[in-house]
Amino acid sequence: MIEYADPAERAMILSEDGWGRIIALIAAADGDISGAEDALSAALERAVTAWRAHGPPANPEGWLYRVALNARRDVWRSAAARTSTALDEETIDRIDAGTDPAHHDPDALPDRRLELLAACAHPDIDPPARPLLMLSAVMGMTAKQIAAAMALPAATVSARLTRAKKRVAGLGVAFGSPDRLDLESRLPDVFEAIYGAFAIEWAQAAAQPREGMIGEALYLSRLVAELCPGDGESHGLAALIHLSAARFPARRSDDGRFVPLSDQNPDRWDGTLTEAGERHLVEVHRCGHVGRFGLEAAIQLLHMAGIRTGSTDWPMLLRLHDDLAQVAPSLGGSVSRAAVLAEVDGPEAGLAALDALGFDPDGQDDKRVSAFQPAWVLRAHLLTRLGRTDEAATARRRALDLTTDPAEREYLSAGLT
Amino acid sequence: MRYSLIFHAPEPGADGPAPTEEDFREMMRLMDDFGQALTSAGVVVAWEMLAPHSETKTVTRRTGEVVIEDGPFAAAKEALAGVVVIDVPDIEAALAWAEKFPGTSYGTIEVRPAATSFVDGAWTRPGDEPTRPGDCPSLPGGSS
Repeated sequence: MIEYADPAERAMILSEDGWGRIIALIAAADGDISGAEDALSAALERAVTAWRAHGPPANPEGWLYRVALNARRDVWRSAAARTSTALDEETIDRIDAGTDPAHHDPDALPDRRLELLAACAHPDIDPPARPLLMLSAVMGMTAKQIAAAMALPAATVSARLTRAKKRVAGLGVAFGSPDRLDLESRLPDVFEAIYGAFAIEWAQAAAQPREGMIGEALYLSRLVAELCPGDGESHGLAALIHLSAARFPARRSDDGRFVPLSDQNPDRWDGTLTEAGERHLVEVHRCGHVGRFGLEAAIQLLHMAGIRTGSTDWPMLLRLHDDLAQVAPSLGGSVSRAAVLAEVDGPEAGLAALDALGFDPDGQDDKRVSAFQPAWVLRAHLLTRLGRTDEAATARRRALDLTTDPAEREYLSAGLT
Repeated sequence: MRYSLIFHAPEPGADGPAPTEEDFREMMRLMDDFGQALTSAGVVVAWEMLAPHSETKTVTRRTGEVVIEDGPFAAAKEALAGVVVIDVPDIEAALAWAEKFPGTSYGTIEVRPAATSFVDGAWTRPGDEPTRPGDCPSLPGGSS
């Protein structure tokens, strides 16, 4: 695989959207993302010299698309000559005529990025590879850049990307011609993969919190909301990612200490991201469909409003959690609901809700819950509120045993003897 | 209770992966992060990353006399690459650490409880471990 043009140089000649737009158009023809990337990389190399000599063309993206498509057509033609299964001349001409910017408004390349996103989140692709594929195909990130942001070995990312692209190529033209209905049914997987790029399950313990893919996930969530403006969940996802990202600066104090949400200083939240999140949440309601991501975003916004004003609407939060448990039950969601219930009906009710999850403080029963660190943190908190100090300390020690993050360990061990 | 995190991975070489100098440095940095986290949690007993297969000597007296030979003979796809011994209350805690081991992105970790450990000149079994300062003697959820 050709290594792409230097990212800084690329940014000067290609807009943020340009890479994904061109890749989507070219790869839609045969499903070959690697081939499209190689062609576009080669076109970018040529652009650097050609534009330096003659000045940039009026429509740089149209130029790049044209050159990259020509390179692909040469490959298709030679493949057609060698085998009978590759694209035939007629198909090549149709692809050409259908998408050639010369036949249309030169500034209006058709946007096939939703199809590209859906291909990246195709059921045949391993779920952990889906976000990687989006970052590569839609945003043009190199394996090395992705590896650095996710703290994975570059060779591992590279191997996963190659495998995933082979799978997409195996889908062939099916990727280029999904009908609208099929695309809609694939949206949940697209949302999930974008959320996966944001909420990276860090595979390593690290002294410093990692930034990961925040900027990229924000971009992808805005993109999918822009491509499916009528879908409530696309805005729900964008709202959730914007609101969560807004709080990142407040997760650690200046001296690197862990700061739980309830103790965060709202002045350290990013105002621009918070406002963008709020706007997307308004769109969720306009669409009239509130799904898992919309509910999670609404829950976050209510928590944030409560911290800012000093008064949290707990009954409303409980209703949202009940809805969330219906739509997308999860262990994390159930533990959060128990925490909210404790605020509405008291700590004993919260403890009872924890126990109802199969939580057994002796660790004999449901391993899943008794090995779930947040459940022990909450248990310790509720027992403290009930004045059951010894049990609280025991629960806190258990939470500590299951915590590998140094800053969080320090926070949990404060006051323990 | 002591657990060994036993790490198996393909060895770099002719048939194995060929990480670059940069890949090595990157992995060393991640391993170092892990080591710092283990140390600050106070759970690490020892951590050895092993030299390649080819530098191994085997010693046996099975036939009655001492025989020292080069290398183990079985060439497996994945070889023993390292061992991290940690002291944590139970398997759940051991797994929490194993999940964070950076090498799992290219190899596998086996998590095994110690049956008995030779500590400070004596054999200790998980049940009769002496209480160390900072330990909670009656921890529910522990297997003791």
